Amino acid sequence: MKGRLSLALSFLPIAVLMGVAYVWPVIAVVWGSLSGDDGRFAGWRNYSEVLNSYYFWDSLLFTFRVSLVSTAVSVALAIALAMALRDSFPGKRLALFVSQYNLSIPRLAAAMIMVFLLSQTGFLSSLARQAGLTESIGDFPWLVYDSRGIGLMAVFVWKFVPYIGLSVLGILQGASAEYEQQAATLGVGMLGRFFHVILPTVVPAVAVSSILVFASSFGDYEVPAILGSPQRRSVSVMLYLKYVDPDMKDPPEAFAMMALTSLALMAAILTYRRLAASDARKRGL
Amino acid sequence: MRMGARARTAILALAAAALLLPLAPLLMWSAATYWRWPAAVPEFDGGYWPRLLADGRILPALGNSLILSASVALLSLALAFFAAKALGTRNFRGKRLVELLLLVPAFIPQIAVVFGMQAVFMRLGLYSNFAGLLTAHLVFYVPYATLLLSAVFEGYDASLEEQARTLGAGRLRTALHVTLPAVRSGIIVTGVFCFIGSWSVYLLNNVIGDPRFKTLPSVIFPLVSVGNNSYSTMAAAVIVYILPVLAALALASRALAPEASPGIVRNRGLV
Repeated sequence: MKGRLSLALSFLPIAVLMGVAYVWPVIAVVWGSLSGDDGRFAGWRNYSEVLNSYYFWDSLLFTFRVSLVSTAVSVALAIALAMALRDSFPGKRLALFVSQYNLSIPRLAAAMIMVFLLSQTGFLSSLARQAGLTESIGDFPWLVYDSRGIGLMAVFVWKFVPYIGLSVLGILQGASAEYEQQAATLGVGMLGRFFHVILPTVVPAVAVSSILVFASSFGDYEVPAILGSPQRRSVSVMLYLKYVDPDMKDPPEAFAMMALTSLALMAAILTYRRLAASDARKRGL
Repeated sequence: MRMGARARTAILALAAAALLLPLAPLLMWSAATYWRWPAAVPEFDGGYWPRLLADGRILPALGNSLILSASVALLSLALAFFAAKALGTRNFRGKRLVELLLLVPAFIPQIAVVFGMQAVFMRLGLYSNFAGLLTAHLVFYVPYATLLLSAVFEGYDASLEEQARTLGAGRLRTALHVTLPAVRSGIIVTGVFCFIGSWSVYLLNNVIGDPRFKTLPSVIFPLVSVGNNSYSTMAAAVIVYILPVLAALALASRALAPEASPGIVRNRGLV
């Protein structure tokens, strides 16, 4: 009995904080999504408006695609980076530092840094001109403020590769090494070891970090607010404008969009978890 | 599978270039007021540092950010400590569920709840003041700290406490001399990560915070979106913004090394 009481007491501060300052606001959002402009109950009206809105779907799908591509590219590059970092070699400490310093750089700062680098009058564009690859500013492609989301993906990949890479590295330096040696003793070749030993052992770590990375790029506000396209708005920017911008303002619909966006994201994550789990079962993990 | 030295060098050189190259224009812009395409380097004249520092907004904002993020880190640790210990060292029904619930604030986009927070915080007297902003940050960093710390406690041997108690140490002495030292590096890393996370938050400061209590992101963000500021001022401001967190990461980097604390690496959430 005493054990249960102390257990409950341990969670009391979090429960109070989250109940008052998170769950209640979530209920407020849901309530707002079911109310009209006059604050009275309006049923599902806002939802049907939003579900019929082209801009909502376009923004949702665009954000989904940007997050998915950023995550996939980051995972591939991160595995390569972790493979290169795993053995000991001279200069490894420096390499490790370079591979993780940008974890601490805020997204807001990362987005501004990418503007300096990638804009049409930016550093890369100047270098391209110096190298004779372009002749005028207009020859350099739109890499920020573009409607394909290239600038967004550049920031996300830049931030995510070190993050995923470190969690993969943790695995590669641990359990995986032993299995690889056994496989090598049994005569399994290099490619075989990569696909049948290394990949399966890093999958759980990659699954966890890629979910976090996906969700965090999907919900990010600062990066698209700085270098997103005015024509193609990421979901967070659209929701913000829908709530505060004088020209677009419609709080009840904004609340419905917030609820639907969260549901869509949760559904995507749960589906992915399902797939990852069934894949793991198939591989006998 | 060992990678050949040549392949490793090639990959690491590419990675270093990709990771470090973006810093080059940042640093150059901060030291030059004028840089015209297609010059590969600007004419260095010291940039707008004097103007930025004389502006009178950036230094107070730096102080405010330090106060806010340090408070967030310390309070997150304090509020998360016992829950993390329970999660890491005890088995109970519903443990998996608790862990999942703690992840929810990291998954749901902040924008989807922040206006609900604004409405509720207004009623509670937590809108547009420091206590409210602090609470808003804690909502995201207490669950985060709990998950990180619980991973640290998983490798912690709770029977040590019993031994200390048997030897006559009181509750407080046991906590101070047995529990804390055993998880010290995990606590430092968790605190630093909460600090860095809170340092990066812009949205909450903008929607919940006091407009008179300007933090660094709320001073820096308008520099870009308005667009009439020179890149040189922006670059200098960004450098002021990132130096403290780089220092914080360096502080944590010893404990961050994968071999130092595998648990925390597994659950690391600095995205």
